Amino acid sequence: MGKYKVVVLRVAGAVVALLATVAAVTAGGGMGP
Amino acid sequence: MLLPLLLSVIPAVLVGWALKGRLLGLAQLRLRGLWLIVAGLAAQVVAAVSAGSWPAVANFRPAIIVVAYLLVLAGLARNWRIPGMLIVLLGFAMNFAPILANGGQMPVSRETMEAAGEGGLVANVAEGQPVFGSKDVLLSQEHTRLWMLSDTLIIPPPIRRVVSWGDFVTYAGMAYVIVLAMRRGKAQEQHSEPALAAA
Repeated sequence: MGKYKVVVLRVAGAVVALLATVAAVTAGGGMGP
Repeated sequence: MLLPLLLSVIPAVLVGWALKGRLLGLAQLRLRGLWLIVAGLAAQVVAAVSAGSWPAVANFRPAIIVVAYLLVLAGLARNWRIPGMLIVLLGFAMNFAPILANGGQMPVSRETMEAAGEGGLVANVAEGQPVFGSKDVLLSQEHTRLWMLSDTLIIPPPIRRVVSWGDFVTYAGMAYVIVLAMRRGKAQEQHSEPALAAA
C-alpha cells in the first residue's frame, strides 16, 4: 500500500475516533430524532 | 453522529484549512485508550435502546449510563495531554454532573421537548420515566437538580435537537483539538514529502 493511502487511512481513522469521542461525551449528540 | 459532524468536525476542518492547516496533522494524533471510549459509547447505546425495548435491562439503565460515562472518562483521561482535550473534559464534566445529580440519567423537561417540536416522543412518558432512544429521563424543571446543565437548549429545524451546554462545550473543544492538530500538520509539512504534504 502506498504511503499516500496509509496517510489517508490514518486521517480517516482519526476522524472516526474523534467523532466517536464526541458522540460518547454527548451521548450521541443530544435528544431528538 | 450527525450533530458532532455538523457542529464540530466539519466546521473545524474548514477553519483548519482556512488557517492553512493540513489534515496530515490528524493522522499524527495518537488517541490512547480508544477502546474505553468505544465501550462507553456501546454501553450508552444499550442503555438508550433498553428503555421500552428490554425491560430487564432497563431496570439497570441509570447504572449502565454511569458506568458508560466512567469508561469514557477513563478514555479521555488517557488523552488529556492532547492540546485542546481539556476543553472536551470540561464538556464531559458539565454533562456528567447533572446525570449524577439526577440518579444516573440526563433530565429533559416535557416543555423543552414540546418547544423543540418533539413532544410526540414524550407524549406517553410519565414524569420520572426514561425517554426511549436516549440517555434522558423526563423531569420537570422544579424536580431537576443542576437544571441549567441538563438538556435545555434547542437546535431549531431542520436539525431539531435538544442539547446541553456541556454538549456545546464538547463540540467546541473537539473542534479546537482538530484545528490545533491541523496547524501542527502544517508545521510538519515543511519537513515531509510532497505526497504527504498534499493530505
